[in-house]
Amino acid sequence: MTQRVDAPEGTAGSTPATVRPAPDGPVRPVLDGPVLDVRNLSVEFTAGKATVRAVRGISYTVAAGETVGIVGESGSGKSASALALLQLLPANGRVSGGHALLGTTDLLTLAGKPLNDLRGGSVAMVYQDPLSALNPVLTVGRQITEVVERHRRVSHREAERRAVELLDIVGIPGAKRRLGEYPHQFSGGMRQRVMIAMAISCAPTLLIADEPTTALDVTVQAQILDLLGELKRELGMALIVITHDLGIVAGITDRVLIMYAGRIVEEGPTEDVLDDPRMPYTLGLLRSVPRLDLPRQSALTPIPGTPPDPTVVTAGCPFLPRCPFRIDRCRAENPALDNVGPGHRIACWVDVTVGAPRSADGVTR
Amino acid sequence: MTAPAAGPVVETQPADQEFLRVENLSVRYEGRAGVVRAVDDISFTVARGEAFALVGESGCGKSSTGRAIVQLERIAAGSVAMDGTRISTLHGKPLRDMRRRFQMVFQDPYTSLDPRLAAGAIIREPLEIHGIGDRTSRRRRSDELLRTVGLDETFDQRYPRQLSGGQRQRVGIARALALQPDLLVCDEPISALDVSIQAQIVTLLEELQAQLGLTIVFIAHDLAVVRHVSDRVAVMYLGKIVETAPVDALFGRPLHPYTQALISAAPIPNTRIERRRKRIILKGDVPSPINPPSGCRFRTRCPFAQQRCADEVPELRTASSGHVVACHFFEELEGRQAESHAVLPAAATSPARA
Amino acid sequence: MTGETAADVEIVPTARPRMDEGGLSSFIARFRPRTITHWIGFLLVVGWVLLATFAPLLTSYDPIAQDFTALLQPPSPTHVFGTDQLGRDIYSRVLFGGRATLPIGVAIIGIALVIGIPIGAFAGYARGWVDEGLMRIADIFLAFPTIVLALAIAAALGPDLASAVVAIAVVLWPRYARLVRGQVLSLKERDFVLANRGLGASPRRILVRTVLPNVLPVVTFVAILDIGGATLAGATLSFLGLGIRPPNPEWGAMVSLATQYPGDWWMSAFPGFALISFVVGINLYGEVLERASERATGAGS
Repeated sequence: MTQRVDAPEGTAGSTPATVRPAPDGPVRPVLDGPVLDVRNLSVEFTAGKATVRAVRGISYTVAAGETVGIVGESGSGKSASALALLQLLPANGRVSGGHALLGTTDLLTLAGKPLNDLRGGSVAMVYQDPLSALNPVLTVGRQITEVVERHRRVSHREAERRAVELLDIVGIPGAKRRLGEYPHQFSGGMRQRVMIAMAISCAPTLLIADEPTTALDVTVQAQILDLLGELKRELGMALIVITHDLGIVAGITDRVLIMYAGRIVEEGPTEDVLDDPRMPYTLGLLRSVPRLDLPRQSALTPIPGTPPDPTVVTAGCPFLPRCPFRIDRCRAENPALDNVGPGHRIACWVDVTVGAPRSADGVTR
Repeated sequence: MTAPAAGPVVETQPADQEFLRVENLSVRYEGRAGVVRAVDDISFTVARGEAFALVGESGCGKSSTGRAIVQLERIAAGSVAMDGTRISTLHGKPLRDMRRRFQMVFQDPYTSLDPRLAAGAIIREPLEIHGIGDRTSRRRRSDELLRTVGLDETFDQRYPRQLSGGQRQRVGIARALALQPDLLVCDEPISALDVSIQAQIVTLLEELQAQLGLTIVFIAHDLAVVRHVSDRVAVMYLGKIVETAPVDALFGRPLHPYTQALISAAPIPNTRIERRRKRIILKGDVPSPINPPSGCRFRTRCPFAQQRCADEVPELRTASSGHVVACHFFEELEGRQAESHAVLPAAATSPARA
Repeated sequence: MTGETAADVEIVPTARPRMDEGGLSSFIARFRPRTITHWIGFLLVVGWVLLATFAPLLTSYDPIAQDFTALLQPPSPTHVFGTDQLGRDIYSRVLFGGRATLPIGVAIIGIALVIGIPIGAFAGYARGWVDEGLMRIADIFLAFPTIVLALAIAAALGPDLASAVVAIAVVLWPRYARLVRGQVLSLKERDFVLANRGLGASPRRILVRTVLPNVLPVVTFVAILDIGGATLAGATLSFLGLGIRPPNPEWGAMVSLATQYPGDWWMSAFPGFALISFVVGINLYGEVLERASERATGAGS
């Protein structure tokens, strides 16, 4: 819950205009099932002769209006998994398996016009670095109207009007004037808002935000997260937030997936995962970051070692070399995701609450 | 509109403990559009053996300050004194000799090591520069340093491109320690590292500080890390220090509106707190350092700004022992703050069971 | 102690290329040809070097021995490449000519580097009016077309192979000076150079032991690429009459001589082919060097 502190007159900021759905988009059917159903998604990259298995068979769902966080460090595969959804992988990457169902359509099989309709239409993406994601030689207005015109049959004037409206919605003051400016004339936070404006221009059902605030200062980050939360509520979008910051996840997500070495190792309602982490990696992460809500002198317990080589596939659990709870079974078999609570699953052979192997039926509570 | 006055250094600790003294320091850059006042007349002192943090967002001048302290940046005005000696007026050989006593750890592990040298050679370089020891003793020392930073002798022959970010950073720290400095300036030493590695380096720095009795200036933007590592903290905004305080005082009783906004914006991995806390959302962006706002530089984003803030530059004034703030109205605001925002939630509210 | 041992698994960032060795062996590995064209170039160059080196073993004819009974003979079993207007065996002259032509390029580049690198390094590090002054001098040299200036200098020094080499080197040094200066300027601001300053290294030490070793790889690659052009330039001077003194064989001079005997194709064809194939070989192989040079410039990691 955030409370906006009013700034003095003459400074930036305005209350967002009332949001209304895009002028003549197709009527979207109300979905009972999940908005996004990812099944067994795998992504590979070729680096010279080596194959990097960035994503190794992950599955998850996103319900309408839900916010899901995907958390991981570099090499975990979190970004690759998102780029794969819109088929935006770089030239040396490819989806090596799995499905991503949006309603009944498998996103991974789309090509040509349906794919272009999808991108920016029902699914939109916001990237980490607004400076490189925006075209430096086109005005901001042009970039937004391009998106609108691409997906809606409207006149140019109508698209411009919509662009002004969007800039307003994302909190950029003097929107009409700024339509004619170029990305480099905006600050980092403002550029990110522009990118968000482009992304929501056609009222997507699902918005994917890939580390949307990593490149921003913390006070600007607060602004952007606040904005995303508000937009999500008013547009009823589902949101996937990819980040390495568990604090961000705590604030904005309903559910969270923790990724390590290309796999999901823990997932569940955010509250449960953060309060009661069951996978040693999650536990390790939470114990190793300094936290403002714990006494200052609380010891940090770093996770020893380094993340594994993504070109190597081992038989056992990839977290093994760094795990304080390991048992023999971890070396031989890679654990599958299993329930430990309502909606809360982990991929681990050990029960970290007692430091012993988990019982046969998997449920330890 | 009054010109900024070079105010007196506000004493925040007993004089005999003082190890580093920065006085009226200014650093300026000539840009295409004008002069950038990256650091504008700041002053602070650091006690012997203390961990002092400089915190702020991008463009606040903290990195420039760090470089100015270790004499790697030209000082436009002011002085830096270490252990009684004015190092900012030294040049040539006297300066190079003095450098043995203060060292810097750099932010980017990928550019701070010479790519053509192996780790051992990088660590031995300072010893060679100052002609310390002979080949055997230098090798012994570099092996010892490798162990000190948590690596082992086998890393001696490895080149930076074969090392991970965390390992490179350790090598950088080993290099900085080779000459047994008294003062270590760490410029965002963990920002470029993965989360799970950051804790390793932070813990290493803490251990080293305790073991070697180092005085540390820690430059960072991550408040949680700063709180964990430091004894005292100075918050910077657009080239000026807005608040300095012992760490518990800063986080328990932040007086400057900017400090409050910073703390309020820091994410905490605790859902209950995150969902309940009332964040201070600042409006707008950081103004240009070429043309900073008149008077108090923070006034364009400050929720409490008034006319006086535009007319007069606020001086750093003492709020309590060791706690200074540069705000005209901090006394009045303190009462208001308690009622409007729980800036930092008390640790007692359902801590994570981790 | 929170540590890691070498036994711990290492991270391999997905975007960066993996190198297994460090230092010298990695440096040498960059010279390896990678595609067919690279190999063709490499073999051409190596081939000619070998042929020139072992010339005496590969022919029984003395390259300067004249034989009036066999003037202007087309290629035949006795004279594989034919003979020239003085009865000298062209095959031998081509082989021995390589001994003159091939080193020309290397010598020219070598001298140009010896002049250019220190000047460029000094200018880049010192900046200010030293930099300005040196660069303006370099500009003066750069303003002239290469061959024209070289001709003038060589003519002044006297028609000799050595003077041809010096002349061209004197024309070429500004190119390397500028390159080195640019590299030094950009490296000067890198963190690891700053770190050395912070450690108390003197400016001289920084320049010589930290900056220059990082500059040299780039310069090396560019210089090797230029050998082909330099060889041609040297041959051109010989062709124009400056440079090698007769009767010693040199490819450019041989081609020049052949212009007086247009009907006798073998007199120009073989030395011409030798020259062309050598230069083309260097250029084909040069792509390996271009890539290596790019990586060297980007190498802070």
